[in-house]
Amino acid sequence: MNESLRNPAAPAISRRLNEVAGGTRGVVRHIEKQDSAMQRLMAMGVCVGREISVVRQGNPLIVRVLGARVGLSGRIAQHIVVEQ
Amino acid sequence: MGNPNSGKTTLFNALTGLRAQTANYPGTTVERRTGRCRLGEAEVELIDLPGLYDFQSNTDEERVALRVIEGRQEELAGAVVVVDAAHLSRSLFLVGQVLERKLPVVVALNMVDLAEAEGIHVDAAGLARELGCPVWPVVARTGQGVAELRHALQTLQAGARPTEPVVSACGTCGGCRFQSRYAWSDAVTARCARVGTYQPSVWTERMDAVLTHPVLGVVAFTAVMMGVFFLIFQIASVPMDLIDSLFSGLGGWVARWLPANDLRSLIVQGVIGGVGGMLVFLPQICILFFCLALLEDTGYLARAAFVMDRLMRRVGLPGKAFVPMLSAHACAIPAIMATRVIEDPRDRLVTILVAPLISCSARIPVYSMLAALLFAHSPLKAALVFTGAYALGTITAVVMAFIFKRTILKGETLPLVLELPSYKRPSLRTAVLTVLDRAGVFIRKAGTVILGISILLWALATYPKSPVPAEAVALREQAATADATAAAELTTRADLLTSRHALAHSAAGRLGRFIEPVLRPLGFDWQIGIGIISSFAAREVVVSTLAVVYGVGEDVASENPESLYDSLRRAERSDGTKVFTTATCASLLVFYVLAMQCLATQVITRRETNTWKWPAFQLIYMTILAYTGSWVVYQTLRACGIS
Repeated sequence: MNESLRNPAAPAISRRLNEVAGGTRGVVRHIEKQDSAMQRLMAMGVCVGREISVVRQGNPLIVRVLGARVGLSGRIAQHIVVEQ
Repeated sequence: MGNPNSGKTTLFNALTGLRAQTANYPGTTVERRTGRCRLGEAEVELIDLPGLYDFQSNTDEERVALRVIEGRQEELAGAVVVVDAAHLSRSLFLVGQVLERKLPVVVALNMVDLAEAEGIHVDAAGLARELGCPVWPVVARTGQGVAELRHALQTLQAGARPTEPVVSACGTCGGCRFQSRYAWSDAVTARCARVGTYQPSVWTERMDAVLTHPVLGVVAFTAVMMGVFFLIFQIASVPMDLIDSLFSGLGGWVARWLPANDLRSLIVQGVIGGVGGMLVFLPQICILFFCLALLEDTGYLARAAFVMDRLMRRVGLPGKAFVPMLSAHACAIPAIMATRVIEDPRDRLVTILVAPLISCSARIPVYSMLAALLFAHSPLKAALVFTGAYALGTITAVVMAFIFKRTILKGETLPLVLELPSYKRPSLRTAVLTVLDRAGVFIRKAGTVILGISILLWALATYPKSPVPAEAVALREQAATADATAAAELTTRADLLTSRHALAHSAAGRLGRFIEPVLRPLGFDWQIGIGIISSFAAREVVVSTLAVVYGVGEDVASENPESLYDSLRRAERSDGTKVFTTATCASLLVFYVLAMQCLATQVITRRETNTWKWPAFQLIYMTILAYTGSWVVYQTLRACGIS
């Protein structure tokens, strides 16, 4: 799993996925709720340590993970904590 | 099997061609597509499972797929897993699970052309070594590599066992099963896939900037759907007219050969009329499915679902429900079949329940008639009537969806998790095969019902027989002694009188009179009652039924609607009051907007929900809505002094 290349001097910020700015990326650190919808997302590759980037923020938002674009409800994105 | 959007269905079609059919897995609403595939000397049956990301999820599709894979559904000789070369790691998540089942597997590495275009090169031989099973690169869309795949399947079928799979992820040993399996997936991908200069499809990004934009996206979607409807209504009219004239021609031809008796009437009006009436739906259904299949293949439909999601959630429905709701404006039958894409069974059911409320094209002849009766000399007002009727249908559908989601089918809609695949050039072949498949389902399921009902209605309208009325006899006697032109006119009048009398005394007529007291508060009389009863099979029948009931004659009604409308305007009850007053027309219009009058829709609902409970519910709630709506309109207009 790859870490995003960031300036080592800058502190890592944890944000919820629905608060990440569009056009930026981060690494998944924590997944809060694992209901059936989240499990579907996890089956698509979203697990702890995965690099994920936000293509378009909003509700619903578009992320890119493992090279695929996925549309997500804000409701599910809020339970994913990402470190940038 | 394979991920959604992996080109699985295209490959399935390439292997089975036209020899595929669709049915439901017994006891579920999950579709099962099977087809015969020729492998050298032998023929095997291929099963196309629904696309999935994971076997251990909670959806119906995934449960059924798991049962099939474990061999509990039937004996399996092997599995072909279709893998999108551009998304190897994610696909391997699924492949790993299949390999663990100890089933002989062949991996079809699909869409290698698109992967190469993005700079991703997959080492098929290396992958085969890692997985312990054959891996064949293919491009299902063009057929490249399919022959080699067939050959590989032959070896599989002949019982060749693969070497032991080298899957190190057990999936349940501590930690998250996703993480452990993805650890394996990612490692294999790192070893087998080489990324040159990664060039993600620029077109996809550019188009998505517009098509997923909250405002522009909705505008684009509206434009696309209007384009589809335009196509449907423009192009469909040609084959529809063709089918119409073909069947009337056939009816006329048969009529010449058989003596004028019941059998001829049954064949001409019941059977030929029934079959023709059913086939006339086909052009619209085919064009709709064709357009939808193309749009889906390009990847656009996922964007449409994404963009409409926010709006639809206000009503409690997912974005994916929008395409069926819109399709229902042409015909509820393909719309209900299209609800398949909605994952949540509750949401799917709600969409199926409200789809018939949306004004379909069968209602158009009825709306035309009533608009002309209401506003004879003002085309503008007549157009408003049309728009109002459409709006009423759609708004009621949305409101009822909202109510259902809050009451009987309560539950939060599943949050959106939808892959947006790269835009691709669509495959015409897949679209055509989809259309053939859906049309087949329609003819088999709905067609048989429409035919049956046509025959039943014919019987209701023909029996019991009654003697020719005295007036008609007198007219015929006159005609015998008059000259040619007068005789023709007299005979026509006699015929009209006879058919009108016969209908009034038939079972249908008696039924109409029986329910008249219930219809009176809505402003209807027993003759309109006959029209309504016959409409419960198919709506547009009311126009020709009313033609007979009011003594105008069906031929005139179809060739010259104006004269039918004129006669209807002048029709009077026995006490001298006009039948088609403003209030009556308005209330009849509302009735037709809201009533469930299409047995074919009910049959398709039964097929898609697996029980008669829901079609019955549809019938009941919509009849209540129609009756109440009609009553409110009629009584309100009367109270305001408009009769």
